[in-house]
Amino acid sequence: MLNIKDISKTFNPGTPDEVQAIKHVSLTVPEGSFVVVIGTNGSGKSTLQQLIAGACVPDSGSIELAGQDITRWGEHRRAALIGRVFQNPFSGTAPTLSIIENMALAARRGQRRGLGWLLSGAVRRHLRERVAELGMGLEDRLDNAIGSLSGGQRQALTLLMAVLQRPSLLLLDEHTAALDPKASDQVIRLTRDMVAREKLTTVMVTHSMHQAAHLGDRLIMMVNGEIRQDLADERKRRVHVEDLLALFEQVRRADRLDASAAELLRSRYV
Amino acid sequence: MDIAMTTAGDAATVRVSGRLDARNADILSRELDECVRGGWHVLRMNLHDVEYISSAGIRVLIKFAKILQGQGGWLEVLEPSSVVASVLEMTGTMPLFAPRKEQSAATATAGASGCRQIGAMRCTVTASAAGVSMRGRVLGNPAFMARNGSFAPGEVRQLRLGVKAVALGIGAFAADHAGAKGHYGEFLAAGGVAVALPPDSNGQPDFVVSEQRLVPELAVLSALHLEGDFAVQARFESSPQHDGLPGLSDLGAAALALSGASQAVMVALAETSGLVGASLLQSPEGSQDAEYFHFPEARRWFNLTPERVHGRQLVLLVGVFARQPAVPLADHLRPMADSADALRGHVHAAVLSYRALPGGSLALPATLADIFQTQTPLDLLHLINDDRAISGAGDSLFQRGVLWVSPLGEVDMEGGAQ
Repeated sequence: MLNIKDISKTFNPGTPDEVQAIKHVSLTVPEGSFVVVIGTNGSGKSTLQQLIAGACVPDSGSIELAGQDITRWGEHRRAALIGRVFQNPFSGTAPTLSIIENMALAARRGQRRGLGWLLSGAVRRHLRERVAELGMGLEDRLDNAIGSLSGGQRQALTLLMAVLQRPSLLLLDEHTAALDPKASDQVIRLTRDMVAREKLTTVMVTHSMHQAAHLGDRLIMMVNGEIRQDLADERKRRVHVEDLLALFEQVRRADRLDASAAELLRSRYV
Repeated sequence: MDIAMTTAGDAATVRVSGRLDARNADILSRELDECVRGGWHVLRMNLHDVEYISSAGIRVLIKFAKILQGQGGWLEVLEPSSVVASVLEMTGTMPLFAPRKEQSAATATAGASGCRQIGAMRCTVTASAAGVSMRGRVLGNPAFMARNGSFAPGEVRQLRLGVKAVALGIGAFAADHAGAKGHYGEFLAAGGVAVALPPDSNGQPDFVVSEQRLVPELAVLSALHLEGDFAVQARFESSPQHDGLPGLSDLGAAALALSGASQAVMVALAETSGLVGASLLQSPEGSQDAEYFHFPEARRWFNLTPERVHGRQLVLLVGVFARQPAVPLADHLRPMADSADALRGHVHAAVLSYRALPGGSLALPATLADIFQTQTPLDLLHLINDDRAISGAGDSLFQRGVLWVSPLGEVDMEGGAQ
């Protein structure tokens, strides 16, 4: 379970560039829940993700994961609990190492990993099976360098590596945004299957309204550093892409309504 | 395939050459759709150079023949190539496309009454009745919003709207205030149809059409309620002498000119080029000291279109216009533009999917019943001319349409705080 209590984060405080990226956000994600986070640019959804991952530290509030207060933990320490997949397919893997070497590193995540580790036949067979589950034929290319794979294949492998150790939390940061539509669909299908099979507690940030409408059991919409909408269960299941677009349009219109528009309404609305 | 079009009056001659197969039929269908939207009610299809026609091509011809029939026009096939002639012969569809000599309904009425230039619009009166006017009353006082929401439940009025009623304001479909609470939003009613936009409906307007003993009933916070017959029915379109399309202010000026009065009721069905307006995001009752028009609180109360929306749709407009109105009517009207002698008005708009209007003189209740039988309104707006410099979205614009207008006689006060 992830438990975020009243966290705030301001970048460049006291300067003209001050941005209140997260304003008193609280969020509880129960064990096994799949939360999709959407929001406009600058809504704070990526900052929220970074605060959970430990890429930055909140100014106030606390974050608990798997019963431990991780608020002050560094990013590396949190990696023992959190599996992450980034937007950039090149950032989740080591390009010069082979598929099997990357997998082996992931299998030892959170543990001491020196360069002297050996791949026993049993470990290799196990990892081969897991790679085969992706259905991409990569199990026959285990010794190829990851750098030779396509973006979709790398992202699928990164996803597999992220869940290999069954993390307490899977964080997906727009992990299909850099892929072509076909590869994106494939990675989303894998995501859905892996999360369902392993019953992973998942937080996924996305720009895709289609993914937001069709994935997960809970949908959170962030606006100006706050949670504007929180739809769960039945309400989440009834959400259509059009509803989400309408919500975004409403936010956009509210942002455009300035003081002169309020005066216009005062003189013209009856 | 090539498509070439020439026009004369309300007839368009469309010359098609090449193959009229499924792919090209689709292209032709879109071109003909533009013709119909452009107001051409007679399509003369010259198929002399068509070398092949499939069932897809025939289907397009039949589709537009039916659409135009509904508008008092028709589609005819001229000089069919031997291939086309034999296919139409074999399918028995030839008589459907036979050339005709008579005038279209639109041309016939235009010839009978002549055109009138009113501002930026060309208006053609299609029906009129002498000595007809409407009576009106105001319910509630919209000033409760200016008074920051100090509104008492006792100010709510019930409104039952028959076929001859025209109304607009803030209300909800309900038998009393208890049922309407939380659902008050903009509404309009005309010709036996009422449309309301509950702010809690995620932008989906609701509607009630009079049918047998069913009469739309609303609980209203404030409303203009007019009753009677229309004195004038007219077609309008943009005038060739003017650049740009007619705006809401032009419609208001035309309504006054056509009614010959200083205050008038207008109902219109029009093809839009874009609408500018606002709707409530929250039901405004029961919020003591709500500062509706304060910035930034206004963001929580109003959905204001930042640019023109709902272009190329059909819209049902219900409004009242006046120059120098007296109280109590004046309380319900606002300036249509930012100038001292401005025309004042109050107009609500229910947005519908585009469909071409039939030609000739139209009965409002029957036309609306027909439209609402198959359509759910897409949106409802209180139209506002956003004439702010630079950031303003401008006025609502219309392509063409039908106006029903009547002079508005005395307006009484009923209920509401003074």
